[in-house]
Amino acid sequence: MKRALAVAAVLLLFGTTLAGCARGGQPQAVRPLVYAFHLEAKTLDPHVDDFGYDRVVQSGVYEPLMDYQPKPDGQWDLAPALAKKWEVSSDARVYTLYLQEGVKFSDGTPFNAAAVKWNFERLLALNKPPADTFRGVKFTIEEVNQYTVRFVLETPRAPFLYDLAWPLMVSPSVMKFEKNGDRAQEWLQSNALGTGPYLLKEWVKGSHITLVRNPEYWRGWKGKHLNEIVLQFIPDAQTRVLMLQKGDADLAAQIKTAPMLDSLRASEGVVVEEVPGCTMQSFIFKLRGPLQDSRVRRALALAFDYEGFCDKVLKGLGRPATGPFAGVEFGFDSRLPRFKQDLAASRALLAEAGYAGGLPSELQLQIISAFIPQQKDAAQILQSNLAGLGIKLKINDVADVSTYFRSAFDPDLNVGPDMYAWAYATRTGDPDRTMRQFTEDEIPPKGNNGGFYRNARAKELINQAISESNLAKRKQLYYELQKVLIDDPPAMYLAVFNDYICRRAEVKGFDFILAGARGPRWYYMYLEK
Amino acid sequence: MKAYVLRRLVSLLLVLLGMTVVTFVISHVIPADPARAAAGMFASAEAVEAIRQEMGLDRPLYVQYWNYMRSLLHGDLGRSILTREPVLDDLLRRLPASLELAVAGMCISLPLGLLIGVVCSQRPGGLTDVLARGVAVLGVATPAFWLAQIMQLVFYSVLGWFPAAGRIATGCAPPPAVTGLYVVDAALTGNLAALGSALRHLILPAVTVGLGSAAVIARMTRSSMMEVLKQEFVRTARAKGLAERVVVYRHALRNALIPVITVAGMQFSGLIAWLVLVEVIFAWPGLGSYAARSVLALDFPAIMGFTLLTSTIYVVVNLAVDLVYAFIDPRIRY
Repeated sequence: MKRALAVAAVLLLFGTTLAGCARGGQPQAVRPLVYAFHLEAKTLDPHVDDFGYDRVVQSGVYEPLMDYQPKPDGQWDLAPALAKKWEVSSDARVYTLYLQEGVKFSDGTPFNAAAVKWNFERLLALNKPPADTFRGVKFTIEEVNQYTVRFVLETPRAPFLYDLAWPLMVSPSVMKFEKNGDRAQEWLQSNALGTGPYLLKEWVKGSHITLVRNPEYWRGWKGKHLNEIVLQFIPDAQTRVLMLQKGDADLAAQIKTAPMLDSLRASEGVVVEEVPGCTMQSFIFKLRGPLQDSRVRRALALAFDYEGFCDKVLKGLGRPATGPFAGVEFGFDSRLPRFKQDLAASRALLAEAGYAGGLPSELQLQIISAFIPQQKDAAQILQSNLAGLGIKLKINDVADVSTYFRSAFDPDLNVGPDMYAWAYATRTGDPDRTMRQFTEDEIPPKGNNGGFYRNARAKELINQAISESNLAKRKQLYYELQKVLIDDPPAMYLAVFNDYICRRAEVKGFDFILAGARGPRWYYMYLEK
Repeated sequence: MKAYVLRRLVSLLLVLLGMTVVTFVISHVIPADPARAAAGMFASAEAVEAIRQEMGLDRPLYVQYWNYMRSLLHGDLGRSILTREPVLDDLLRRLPASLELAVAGMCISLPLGLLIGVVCSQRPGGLTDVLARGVAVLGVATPAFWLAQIMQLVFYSVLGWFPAAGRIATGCAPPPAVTGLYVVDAALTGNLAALGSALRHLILPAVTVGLGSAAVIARMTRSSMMEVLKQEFVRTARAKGLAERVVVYRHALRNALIPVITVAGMQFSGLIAWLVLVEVIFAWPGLGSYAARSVLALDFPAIMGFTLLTSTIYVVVNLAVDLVYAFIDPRIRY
């Protein structure tokens, strides 16, 4: 009897593959793709939150008007999605979008101009992070006919098309779930009603989200596509690595340390692809005391050992930055001079500014290595580089985000550190939003220009570029802007970290540059047999 | 007995009240800004202010506390900033997972600890004793996260016996909720596939959780047994000609259990701390991983809720331990 029980227990433990709970038995073409993801989504409502971990699900069930698409030069183009084509007036004020005809939301509600108008009204009325793209932009929306919608702006805005490509379209029929005037926020928190290629099958809180094909999807299901997508929430990075190696996950998110990447590269059946990231890592200067002098700021920027930082600390996880643009933005120019360590030039600049023996007082640099550990290495490298020039640097490693923000963005310029670490990234592929942080309009408490940087020429260029609809001219303006921000630097542009796609070899069509910003384009992915 | 339990329950209320004050004050005086955390890194100052008002964080601390306590009396723990769901719902949804893990952990640690303890006490200083004590010291000293990773590496990565993460295979529907413990529910409903999958997922985290406290229990049992084995009644029992096994397990062990149960009770409560790390590594959707994520996101309502719940569990388990004494030792009366 005892032996029979023991045998039964062992069979139960090891024999479940037979019972259909494991994924081993299913053929490649129909088995689900498992994405080991680091964080659980907060909400599925694309007008409430659009952090990466929300967007990764939202982009399966919802679609934008246009899709961002990377060009061979690394910058982003726009491709048709729910809008099939578009026209822009020569003054960059009137944007006419022609919508795909016959598209329906998954409950059968037609997608049309009225739906687009309703979406923008909801987005702006809720005024949550996804609406940030339209902060300060004044426009009206007209339904020209059932499938044509026109946006008329008060003032010209050249990158508006890129802005329009950000929001995801929700079915207006969700209003039947509205409670206490919440515009259906509560319902959309864990339900979805979009036009996207996938439908929400289940969300097992704390465990996983499963998406299945939308049989009515307007692009159809010819060709190779995923059948089912499982986003499994695995908070521990090492666990994600093991699951990918073992084949229990097809994709693993947020693997960012050299030892883990190396161990994945050495594993059979796993592919690690390196893609240029779009986040700039910088040390921002507060323009007070000696730092008001652009020669001093340039001298500091020239003292930093960029190559050493990238080669020895990042070990290939990042590349030195060229100016204030991370590299994916419209108008980025790789021919611009790149800051390189040049201690002689640095000394000469300091002497010219009247600080031949170094600065009169110690500088404070605030970092937050709990979030970006490499900041500490960068700070220590800078500390030793500056010591050679007679400049003392004190590193203040702050433990939590809010203390950090409070002292970095204090409305009083004289409060807080002399320099602080700051990472910034474009999310639409256009540099306007990120560059605007270097104008006086964004000085705290209004915005994030904690350095109180002002440069009349830079502001003029930013304002000209925003209304310039001629792409070549606009590019030229941004070229000049990058030069200005190199000559009179608001920050030390340290490095741009790379992003990594860690996947099983059979996963195809995962397109990460976009994934970082708007979520993967699930429809174009498939598993090769 | 009844009066004693009542008295203890009243003191539980006082403890909880104290907990709310302490947690509330600590979480609100530390220089962290949940509004900024909720708004995200790149949000404008304006957006942060809007969220601060929405969360009521712009009001004086005592007003915030008063509002919190008033809702608490109505059974409302507030809404999590992170999940946007009522904290109570979140906690209740995740409680069974943690309970399952903690109970399974104890199911491993209690018998194992007792067995090792008793065996060691038989011949103190003998080879088994030295070996087992060495292992026990290692067990006490091993950090949970390290043990968890080693478990994964050996039994998942290399041997492939058990899965690395989760409570049940993602392709397998969880059994209908009766107790909320997957293994029990699957067994009750006769769902063999779910039972197998749930068991396979449970074993590695449960062993990780169990080994640490097994070591502590083993050490306690050993020293307690050695005390008892020296006493007169043991000699009498032996003199009566009782089999050694009866002497040890029926007479001595029962008398040695009181300190062991105290320790085991504390271990059970202490498991909550272990759970935070173990659940994160095994992606176990319980209270521990919820707490870890809430702390990182400065999700104060969730942190408060977690603290209240775990202090309640702590106090209730301690009470239960005190009551168990009376059953083991009839001389103890309340």
